[in-house]
Amino acid sequence: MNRRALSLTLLLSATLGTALAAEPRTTFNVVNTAPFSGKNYNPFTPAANHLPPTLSAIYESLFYVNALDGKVNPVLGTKYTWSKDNRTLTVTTRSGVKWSDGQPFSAADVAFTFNYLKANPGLDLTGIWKNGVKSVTAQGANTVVIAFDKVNVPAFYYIAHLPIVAEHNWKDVKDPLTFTNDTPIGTGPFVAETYSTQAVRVLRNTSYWMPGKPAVDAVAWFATNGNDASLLKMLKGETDYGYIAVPDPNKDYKNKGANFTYWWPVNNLNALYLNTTKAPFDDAAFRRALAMAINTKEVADKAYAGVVPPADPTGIIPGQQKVWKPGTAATLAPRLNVAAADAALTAAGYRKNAQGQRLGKDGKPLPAFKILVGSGWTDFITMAQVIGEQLKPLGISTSIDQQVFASYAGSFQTATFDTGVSWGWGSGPTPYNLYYQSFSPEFSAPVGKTASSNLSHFTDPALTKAIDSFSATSDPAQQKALMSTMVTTVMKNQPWIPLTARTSFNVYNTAKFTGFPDAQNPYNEGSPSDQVGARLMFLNVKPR
Amino acid sequence: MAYILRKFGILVFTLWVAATLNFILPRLVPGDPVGAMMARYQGQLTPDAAQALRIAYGLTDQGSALTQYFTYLNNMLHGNFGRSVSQFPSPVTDIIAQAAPWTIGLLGVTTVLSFLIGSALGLYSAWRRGTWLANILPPLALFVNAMPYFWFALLLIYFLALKRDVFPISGNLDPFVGDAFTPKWWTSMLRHAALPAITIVVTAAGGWLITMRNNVMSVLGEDYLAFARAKGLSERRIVNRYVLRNAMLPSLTAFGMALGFVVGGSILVETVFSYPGLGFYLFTSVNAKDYPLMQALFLMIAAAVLIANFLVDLLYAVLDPRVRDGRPA
Repeated sequence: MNRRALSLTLLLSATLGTALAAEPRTTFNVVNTAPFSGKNYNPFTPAANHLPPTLSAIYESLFYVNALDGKVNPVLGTKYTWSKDNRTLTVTTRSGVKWSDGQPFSAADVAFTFNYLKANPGLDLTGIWKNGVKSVTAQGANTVVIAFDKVNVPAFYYIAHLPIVAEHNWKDVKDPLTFTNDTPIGTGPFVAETYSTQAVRVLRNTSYWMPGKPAVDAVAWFATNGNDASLLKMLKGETDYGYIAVPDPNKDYKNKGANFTYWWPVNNLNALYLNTTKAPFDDAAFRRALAMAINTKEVADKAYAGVVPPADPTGIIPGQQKVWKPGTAATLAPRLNVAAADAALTAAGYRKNAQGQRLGKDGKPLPAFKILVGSGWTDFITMAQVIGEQLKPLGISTSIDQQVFASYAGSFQTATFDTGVSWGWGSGPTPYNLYYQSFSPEFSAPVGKTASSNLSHFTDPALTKAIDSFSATSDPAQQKALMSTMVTTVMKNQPWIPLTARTSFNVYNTAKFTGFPDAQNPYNEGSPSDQVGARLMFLNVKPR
Repeated sequence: MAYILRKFGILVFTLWVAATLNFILPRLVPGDPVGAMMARYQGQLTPDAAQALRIAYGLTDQGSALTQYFTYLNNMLHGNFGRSVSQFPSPVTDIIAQAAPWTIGLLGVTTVLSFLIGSALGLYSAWRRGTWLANILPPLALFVNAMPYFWFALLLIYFLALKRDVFPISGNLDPFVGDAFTPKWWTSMLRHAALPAITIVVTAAGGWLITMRNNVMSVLGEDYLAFARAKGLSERRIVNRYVLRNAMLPSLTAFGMALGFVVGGSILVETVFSYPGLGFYLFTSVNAKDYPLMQALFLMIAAAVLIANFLVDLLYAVLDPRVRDGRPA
């Protein structure tokens, strides 16, 4: 009897003892607004399919390009140079870096990773091998040479962010598309530890190449099933960081306590896309007149409780305006003036009848046009309502068309919509990415076929030429001139009407940690944790 | 025997119909998974990724609809449901194997419990009607049964998890609980199961109470009961042999159905409590347009209901001689 009790106590204390020994001293806790996918640390599967530490804590890329301002941070690469003709990119890789299994990292691993994608096209999610890269070779232990057969300078963004894997670890993987990589070997600041459907934890990589970093012993992610549950965890102080779209962050979060702060940097825009394959939206004069009647300040205030500003008429985000916004933009921007819009419509051949209805060029009243939004997306629905009210004085009536996600996206892509609210389907360190993906003919498609990202289905020869030339030069002055052409062409034609800024949703609880990115120190774009930039936050946060 | 064979034939046929519908329905929904994926990334994924994703998800060459249908049936018979899209590359069967024990444990146990508790109270309130407790039970049962399930769940969460930290708000286990089946693990598991279990038992038991009470009341009026009383049988014997056996039959049918609905009925409870069982994954897979996972789960629901019905039919043959001996007229 006694003996049994004794062994039971021993057993209990042993289990408790080991559990305590494994507990890290400082853990930075992150709340995940969605359930985790399965146990998958494969960095080549799309972000929603792998676990949140994969890109942000375990694997590293050559560089980190901050999409807010275009600043390039060295990571595994320390330096890069373009050849004179922009056909060769030479990257110097960091020495003294070790994989988490102790083997040394070298330029050969980088070359292997790139060529691995070439051999397995299903892994090449950013299309590196489809957009000009010809060969990637290692020269010595610290140099990688990337050769292009088509000049494509903006491809650097995707090259910089490719997760680098160890050759000795991946060369024997049979089917990398379905490989779940249960024991990941990376160069990053943390190593994988626990996985369950509730929580994922990584521990400090004790041999990380950056001395003294990271400052926390562990990062843990907790799964919830939505924004409300996540916000609750933040308010209870159970987690330190969350990426949560709170409807009114001042009222629902900031005002609840001193440690509750948020930083929502502008990283994209929401625009009213006009289907330029369809009358009357195929008429630039009609589109420009619409833009003059829409008060974007009111749209932004009503949709986002005054937290998010209206979009710049160029669509360029604030962090990039200083460098890229042409001086002519101000004069081209549509001026809010309903009377002038009315007159412009009449002048373009769209008269009003005696009942005040706007008539088409054929003399018949224009049908009420639909504004496509995702079903239940309250911010977009509000925008559509406000726009509808603002267009009424012009004799134009609208209706809101709510569709579930897949058909919402499909209607845009197949040009079966009238107008619709959506975000910029392309973003990057310069406005090029936005303009390229939004207006290049290669991302458009005939009506009925799926266009990747040119939602207005708008193309223009001058614009296409500027987009192509931009990718072929690394000369800043030339790039600026070409960007000016892109911006002015789009503003003159108004295939979309930029409505409101679109932001990240960083929500912090600063009770236990400092060093979060914020407006004073915007060292990353404030991204959800499965992206490259989040790594900087996990490196920089310090216990109080 | 013919009865059983006929019932089995119907089971197989309905399963085939369910499987076929399951194949057709998702294909009627507009939108394609890759397009949805592209849009979900809000411009962070380059359009070149579309082709890469098509290759990765095996959507490049699928053959004609008929070929796809036979491949689907064949795969299904071999227990192969493909890989989940939202949790790519996990095989659907792995996800289900991981989620099923939680659902069957929680919903299975609570369905049986609420049936037993509800029926026992129903029997009591009919048998002892006139006493205050027996009289108060039916209106109370109607009240809890009519209560919206999620509302009661939110009340429990608010008072027992938020205001007082008695039980956890959500989940099935503490995050870093260590190895399974240790004392620490069991404690954590039971603490997490408590609130969802209470919610189910309370809201479901009322229904069983009413059903059972009605059944017992109708049996009480039967002549054979008067005869049994006249024979001077003991109360206990009357309840067990005459009342319960006859009153149970209609309840059993409903109970069989309820067991079948364990998988499908878990959606609400598991979503409210973020309990990672089948219902939770059904909800997330529908949201993510994850067809392979959806198909497998819907098929499981259909199969569970059909098989439960079949088992009830078999049980009837045992319990009710009229069914067993029944011949076509």
